[in-house]
Amino acid sequence: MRCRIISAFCLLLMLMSVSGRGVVAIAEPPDSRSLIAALNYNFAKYAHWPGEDEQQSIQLCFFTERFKQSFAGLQNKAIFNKPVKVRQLSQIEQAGDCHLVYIDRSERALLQRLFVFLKDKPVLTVSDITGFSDEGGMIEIFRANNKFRFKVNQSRIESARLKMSSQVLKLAVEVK
Amino acid sequence: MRLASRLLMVGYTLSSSVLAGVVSAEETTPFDLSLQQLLETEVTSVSRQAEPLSNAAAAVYVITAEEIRQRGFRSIPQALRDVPGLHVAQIDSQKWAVSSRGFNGRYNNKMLVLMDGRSLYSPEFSGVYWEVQDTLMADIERIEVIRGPGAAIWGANAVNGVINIITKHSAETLGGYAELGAGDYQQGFAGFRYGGRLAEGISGRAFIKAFKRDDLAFNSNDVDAVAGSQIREAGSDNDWWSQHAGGRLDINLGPSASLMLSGAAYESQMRQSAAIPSLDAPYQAYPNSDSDSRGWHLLANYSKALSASSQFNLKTYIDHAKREERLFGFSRDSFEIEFSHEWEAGERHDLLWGMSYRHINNRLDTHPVVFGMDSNKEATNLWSLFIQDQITLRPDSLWLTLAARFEHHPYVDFEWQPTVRLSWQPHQQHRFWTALSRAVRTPSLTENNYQINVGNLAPMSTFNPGPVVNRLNLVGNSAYDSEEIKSFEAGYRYSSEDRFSLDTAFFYNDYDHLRSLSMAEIDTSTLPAFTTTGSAFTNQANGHNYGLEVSANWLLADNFKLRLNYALTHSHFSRGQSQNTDAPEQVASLTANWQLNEKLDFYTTWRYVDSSDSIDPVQVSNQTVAAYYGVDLGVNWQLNKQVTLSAHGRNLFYGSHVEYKSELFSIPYRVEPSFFAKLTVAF
Repeated sequence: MRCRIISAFCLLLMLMSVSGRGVVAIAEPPDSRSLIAALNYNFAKYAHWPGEDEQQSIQLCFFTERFKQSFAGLQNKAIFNKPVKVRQLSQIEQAGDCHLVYIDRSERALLQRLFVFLKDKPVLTVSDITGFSDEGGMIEIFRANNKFRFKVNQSRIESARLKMSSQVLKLAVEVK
Repeated sequence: MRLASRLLMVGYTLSSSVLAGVVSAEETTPFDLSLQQLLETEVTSVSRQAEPLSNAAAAVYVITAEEIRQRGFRSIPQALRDVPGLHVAQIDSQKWAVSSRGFNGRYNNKMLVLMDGRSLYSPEFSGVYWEVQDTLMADIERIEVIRGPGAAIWGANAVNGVINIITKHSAETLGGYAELGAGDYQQGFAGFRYGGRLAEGISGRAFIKAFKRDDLAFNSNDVDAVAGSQIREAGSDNDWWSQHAGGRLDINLGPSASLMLSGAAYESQMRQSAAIPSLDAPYQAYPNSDSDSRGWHLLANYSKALSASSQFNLKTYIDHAKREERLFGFSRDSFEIEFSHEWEAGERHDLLWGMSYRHINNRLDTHPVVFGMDSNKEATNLWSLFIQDQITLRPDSLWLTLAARFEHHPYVDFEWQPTVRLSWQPHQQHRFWTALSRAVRTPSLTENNYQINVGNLAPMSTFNPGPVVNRLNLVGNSAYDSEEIKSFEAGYRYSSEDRFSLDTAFFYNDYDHLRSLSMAEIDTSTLPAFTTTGSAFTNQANGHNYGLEVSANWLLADNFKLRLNYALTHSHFSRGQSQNTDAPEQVASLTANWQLNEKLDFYTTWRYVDSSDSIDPVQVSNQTVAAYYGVDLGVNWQLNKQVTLSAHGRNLFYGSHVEYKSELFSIPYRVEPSFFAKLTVAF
């Protein structure tokens, strides 16, 4: 009895893995974390920071381990001939040197300290936390019908002396 | 032989599918897409990485919302079932025994359970009434299980573990959600939630849920012949229904502060059989009766950031619980307020400190079986102060955590519960940690104050040579002290670049002052009706256990995940314990998740639980629950954007079996294979 059940289970696993292979063999669409990293890269491409011309590189920062791999893909990119530097933050105070900070929804608890620290510092803040753009963030990414969309809080962007190209604003679902 | 060759084949097909996955993953470069193209791309999978492991210097395991959704967990104990190092056993239709690293029992007292920071631990018996700890499962963000002593931060009784149930922020549950389902054991359930944005920066949700669950089967072969016929005659119904309603409000008070308010109320009506002593032959009765449980709570949590490196939190709640059973009844009102402050002091120190006060009012209804000794009312005040410093000894590679909690409990005065933890990451993919801790389990009201008539001995029987019936009473002892644990833990975590991760933990726990019973004193003042033997709770027992826990995750393909969880525990305890001590030697589970396409996903879990012992206070011997295994299977089918249909099977392919024999009062029931189907609508 017992042996039969174990073999039945193995058989089931085998069936699953065989058909699983069939699915993987098809060309893979990007996963959500790479798409989020790519969105951040695009926001940075269309953003302008005060004193940007004198700076050597564009620093894109994120908080959690989860996004390490997807952001790593940006390491050799450039924005307007400036190399992109990717940095994982462990403390909020490190965010001061960043051009862009991405904070994912697992780090909601850090939000208040991040806002207090960045206040009007010229750092573009991006997140997929629901309500981010209402609570003091600049760009809020969300999902609708399995595609990414975003909202922009233009007044926060302006008070931080940043400029966002109309290329981005016209694709936003909401600008306020 | 045939089995072995099949296993080999499985191994082969699995590894070839991994290769297929890795090779094609390198072709994707979403960074070449324009913003417009990115917004047109369908999001098909969450991540191609195995979930990152915790960085904590402790044995942490997380059950995610996605896992709860996919596996269709209907209750919190069910979600905990396959966590390595936990032993979860169903007692009857309602009751569960959940423990970490040994000491399982209906009244397992060595694990702390919190929901959004509210303690679910019951001070009457010490332990958790799992049957009334519930919420809409779809509103749970995650369940964190921390094995080992967590007392330095979480407080007394977090001796062998802490379970933190964290619900979703209400901004994450906007819109409507409804679920409806039925099956054989799950006779019917329904849940409804609606969430919305009430104003800018204010979001909220409200839910209501109800269910009815069927009996587990009683089989008279699981008890002796006399009891079997008595129970058959009295009935062994244990079906129940429960309803629950609640809500949560999140208010954003400017960029630096927020307030969370939540509340809920529940009512459960349960049918249950109990083994209670009787003065007439055969000196034990098994009445089948109704038990009612009701409660509500309100919680507020305010947090404010003072700077980038400093944030404080003020949490307070009131909680009311009432329970009425044939054996006893109680009502309890708790109030707690806690202040905590997190402060990154410079580059090296990450400080967390705080203090809390808890007031508990208990009222015990006197019954012939469980009765109060001093008074029926009891008020307890608990004070505590805690501090933790996480010191970065070498940036990004070496951390030392020092923490301690000082607590004042009226029964035992001051307790201090320190921990030292060291964490070392020599390489991105490898992390080692080790910890030394001391924690205590404070006395329950029962141990301090109550008397329990656990059984009656027939005249002229083995243990009662006298001519009249002898009542056996456990007697609360105001000198009863805390149980103590000293624990050594070590762990290793490995995560490959992408698809494989391994989390292992080893522990050695040394226990002192464990609960035992004093030499009996015989009271003959009630002759010629009966005599009474009273044994007081004492702290004479001790022992140690050690073990190994492993959790391995393997993302075989983007759409196929395997997880193996395994725990090995060895228990060595002195004789004369008055609680269950031993964990099943081995518990293992293997879970496979397969996302066939966007609309269809499957899972299967195979689990094995070794035999376990539980004590029988009347017969002064151990009862054994035989080893068992079982399979859970399920499918989720997303019909369209709003509607999902799912079907789940539980405990399949093994037949009916007993998972737990209670140390007191309960009778054994058999868990059987069961099925249910569920319809979910999001709008």
